[in-house]
Amino acid sequence: MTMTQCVGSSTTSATSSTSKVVSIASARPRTLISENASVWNEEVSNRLQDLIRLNYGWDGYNARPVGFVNATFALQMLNNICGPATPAPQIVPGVNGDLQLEWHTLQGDIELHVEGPNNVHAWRALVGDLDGEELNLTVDFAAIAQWVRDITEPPIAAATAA
Amino acid sequence: MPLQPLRDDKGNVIPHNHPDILPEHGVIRRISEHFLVRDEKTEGQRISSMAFKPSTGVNGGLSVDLKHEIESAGHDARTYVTTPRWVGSVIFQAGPLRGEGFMIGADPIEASAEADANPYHGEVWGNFTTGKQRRLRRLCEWFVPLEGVSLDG
Repeated sequence: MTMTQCVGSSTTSATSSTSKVVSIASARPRTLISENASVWNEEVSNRLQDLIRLNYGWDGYNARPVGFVNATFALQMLNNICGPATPAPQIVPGVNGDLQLEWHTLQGDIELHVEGPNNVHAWRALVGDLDGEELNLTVDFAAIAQWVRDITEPPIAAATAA
Repeated sequence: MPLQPLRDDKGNVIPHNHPDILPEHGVIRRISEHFLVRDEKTEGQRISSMAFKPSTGVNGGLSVDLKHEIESAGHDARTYVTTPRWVGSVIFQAGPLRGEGFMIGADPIEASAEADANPYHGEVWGNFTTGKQRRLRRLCEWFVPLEGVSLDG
């Protein structure tokens, strides 16, 4: 399932964004966007639908709802970096129409700030690492796919996958 | 009378350190329920770093409410920042915020079709690096607490 199904009338822009993401992944084995049986997809899609419908000023000040293009990009990025059994990220809206995908597990924390399509600031800290590490990402999300595996899979499974 | 901000020739508020916002004055940040995340490590909720990211517009900063100005106008600050539905808030002191290199100024909001007026609205301007966003969380304390939500993280 994609955002296309979630917000009907915006099919064109969602399809356009899908094409961008698929072309980005061309140097690596592709993860094509299609019907998705992952455990996180429905939860993520529902949450994104809620966030693009937020009222102006939802934060008590001047915040805008999450932008549809940003939501679509986030969903497609997740299709690229998450496996079918990856737990759903928590999704936090930003005040600029942006959003952040977050995992906070026993192994560590990841925050993926989608400031716009192909404009992602990624941060992670494993347990015991106070400062963490940061990456600015545009088209290659392989590094954060590994980050997500590192903190969402049991240690033995993560080592095997690596 | 609410604090008057520093403006450019076009009337836009520009980042400034308002001299009437004293080091001991409270700077309140409202916390929407959308900013809360669960953390397996604490088995509870905490505030996302997104609550401490600034807006990206021209001269955008972190929106806040200026406690001294609210109270000087005869309002109860807790009631003011919780009405009608903002569920929680945290408070900083201006001095430590400035100690982190931030500027704090006035930026009153006029009523519009999209927003209610807030003459006590202010902004925190500066370089919101990831490290500083995390230090911000350590500098604040609850003003209108949310039960079961931690400030740690």
